Amino acid sequence: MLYPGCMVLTHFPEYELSARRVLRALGFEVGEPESFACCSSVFLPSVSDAWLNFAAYTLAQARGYEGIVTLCGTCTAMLRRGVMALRDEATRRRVNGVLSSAGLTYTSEPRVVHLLELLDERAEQLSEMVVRPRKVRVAVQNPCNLRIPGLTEMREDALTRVVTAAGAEVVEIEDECCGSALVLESQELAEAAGRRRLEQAEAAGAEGVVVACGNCAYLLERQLGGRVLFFSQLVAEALGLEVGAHA
Amino acid sequence: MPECTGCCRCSGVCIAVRLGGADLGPVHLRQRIFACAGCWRCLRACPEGVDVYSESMRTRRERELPESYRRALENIRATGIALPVRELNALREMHGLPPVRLPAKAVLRALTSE
Repeated sequence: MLYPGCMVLTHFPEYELSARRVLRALGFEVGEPESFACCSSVFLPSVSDAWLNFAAYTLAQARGYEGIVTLCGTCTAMLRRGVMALRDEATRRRVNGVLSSAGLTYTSEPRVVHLLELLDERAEQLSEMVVRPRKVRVAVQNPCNLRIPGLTEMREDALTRVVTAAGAEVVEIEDECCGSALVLESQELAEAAGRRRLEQAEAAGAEGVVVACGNCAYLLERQLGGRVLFFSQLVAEALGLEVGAHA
Repeated sequence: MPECTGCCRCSGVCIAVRLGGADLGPVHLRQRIFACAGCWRCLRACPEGVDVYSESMRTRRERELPESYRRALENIRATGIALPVRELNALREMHGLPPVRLPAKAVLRALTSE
């Protein structure tokens, strides 16, 4: 079940489209939640424990699927927090009471995996499928929320491996956050953080920054005008799949 | 439960602090608690293993929410999505993506209740 998240759903259809094409090329059947709701992000946990209802709403809809594939770091982390919290029987019972209003029940733990982790697991297979190596020099922006101890723990250098498998050359830049969520407190702070990333990439000779999260893309591209590529677009192009033009 | 010793290694790796946008000190206790990129490098840096994420969320619940959070919460309560929704399915159709359905109002009311 592909879960794009609010930012991708409202701003980056090209990311979702390339994700679907790559998943199909790898032999996956792709479905979607019957009804889409926010993962709860940083908003609901900042005010109450109702965040778990939202995470559970999506998790419960994954029944019948092998797992949930996410496209943003925060969605991945929040859905996994949900899986962990729902291991407690009393909590599960309470949340299932809420979910009953939607005709849903959370019964089993789905695997929650970011598309990047899935492609990294299959980097070798991907390399063999490449028909048009995507020869471009790029810097990578790792999604911070995929590296939370005890929760997400993506393998180090996953983005570099996947992007390299697609034929691109990765230039080294500092391992920093893009700062996109700072926009919620201060536009100025977010832009200062984002500009740092674009400047680091440019100084290293990169033609663009490869991202694996809609929030990073929103700041670096839509707000700061940087050249940004979603990793799945790069992969889709390398596999010779048709992808929509990048906005 | 591991306790904060005030060593401030969390602050040392904080992008908001490095850019001068948040006060020094343990990040889960600071005044500008919402000046947070949500990268959780603080969680990785803590030598005591404090659950900085949960502590930070606890502190936020005692503070006044920034306008951006209030707007996002209003959106979630109204549509289920944190961002404003405008012609969502028209945009999807243009890209050849299947339409999405949003939760019914009654479901949203239940989900937002504690």
